[in-house]
Amino acid sequence: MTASAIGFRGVCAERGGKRVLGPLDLEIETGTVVVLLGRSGSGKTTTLRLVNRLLEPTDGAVHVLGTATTRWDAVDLRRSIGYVIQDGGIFPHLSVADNVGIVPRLVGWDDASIADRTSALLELVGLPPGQFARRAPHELSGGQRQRVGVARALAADPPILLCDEPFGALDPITRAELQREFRDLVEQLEKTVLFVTHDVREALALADRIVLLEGGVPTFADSPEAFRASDRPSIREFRMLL
Amino acid sequence: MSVFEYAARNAGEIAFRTVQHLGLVGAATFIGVAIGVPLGVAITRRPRARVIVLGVANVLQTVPSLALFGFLLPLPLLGGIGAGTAVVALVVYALLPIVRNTFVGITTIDPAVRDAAVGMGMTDRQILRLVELPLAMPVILAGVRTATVIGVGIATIAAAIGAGGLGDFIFRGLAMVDNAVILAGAVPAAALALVLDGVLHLIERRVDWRRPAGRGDHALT
Repeated sequence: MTASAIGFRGVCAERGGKRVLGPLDLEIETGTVVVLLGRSGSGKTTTLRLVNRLLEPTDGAVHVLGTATTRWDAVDLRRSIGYVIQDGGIFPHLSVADNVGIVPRLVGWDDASIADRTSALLELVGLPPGQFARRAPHELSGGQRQRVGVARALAADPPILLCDEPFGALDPITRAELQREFRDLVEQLEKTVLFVTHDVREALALADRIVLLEGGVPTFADSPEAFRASDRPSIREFRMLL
Repeated sequence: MSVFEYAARNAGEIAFRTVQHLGLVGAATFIGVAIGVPLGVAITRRPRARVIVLGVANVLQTVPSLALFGFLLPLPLLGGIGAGTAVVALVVYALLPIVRNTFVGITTIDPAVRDAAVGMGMTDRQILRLVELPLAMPVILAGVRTATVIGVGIATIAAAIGAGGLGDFIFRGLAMVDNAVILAGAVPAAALALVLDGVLHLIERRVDWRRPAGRGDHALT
């Protein structure tokens, strides 16, 4: 196994001819949780979308599991990466169970395996399948929908999870609860996680390593402890929110 | 002779003309869906074609129906006297609501849902089949319903080119200056429009994923 699950090597990205990211050099070790912290427009989401090739770099290369994203088949690449976004991007016309089982279905699992996997995952994210499997998404609370989003991302057991402010729309108490559970879950499952947030508490609660992005450039990349101790003005600004 | 007497004496023909009318509208709607839905999907993928397709459909919609029947008469294959030409004209009018609603139904889907679908590794075809079409279905069916109701009205004019249908009574009544005969065609046509509207509305509600009850049957298989 390579030590680096995701590697950004001299990566730049442009949108509408304007550079929004880079140059970015960042190695994300297998089994670690890296949080990208930054203000709106700092390039966090762009960084994330480069990993599952929703965007391609204009310069440099993003390596996933040892292979540049541009050399991956985009569909295969995305199926080896769990993707969680704000409000889950849950399919409103499918039941909770069908939402969770959709990636296994796409890759051709049989019905029995999908049903087993779905039940196990719903249990894992704290939604008893007997009670929740047949429910429609609009019957769930925001927190419950987010749990479905996490379960769906984990369904085909991808080694990597990408999370784009998944808990951003939740009330503070539900958010803290989900952060705790999420942290335990990825530790237990040994996933490599790249997590985007503008919430400094969330970053400190989840990260093995925090990467601060400012204007598309990483200005800090170290442990939460080092983040707490740093004297950088921009980091002090973030810390004032604590 | 009152309209009731006339209708009673001609009940058989009214029934026959109603079925004929339904046949014209049914065939046109069916073909309209077969052409319109793929066309509506195609223009969600090609922004440049969108302007052209919706523009042409819009212009066609504005052609007065009697004139369109007239234009079609001399054309080979598409034209001539009879039901075939009528169906061609009805398809022309069915296209706009079906194409437009397919397009709108798909493009108004929450971008986060599309993003999730792409991000989890669905192919374009899978996104269309598993996400976009089911989510757009209530809107698409609303377009089909509009097309059908418009079709019932326009199909009465098809009698002018020998296609039959309930318009036969109307043109006959106009020639005879007899309101009873006109009504023998007009009333069943109006009733047919209302019934089809109601039936399609029920189907529309059945496929509406936003409805609160009875969601158990939404399994992917």
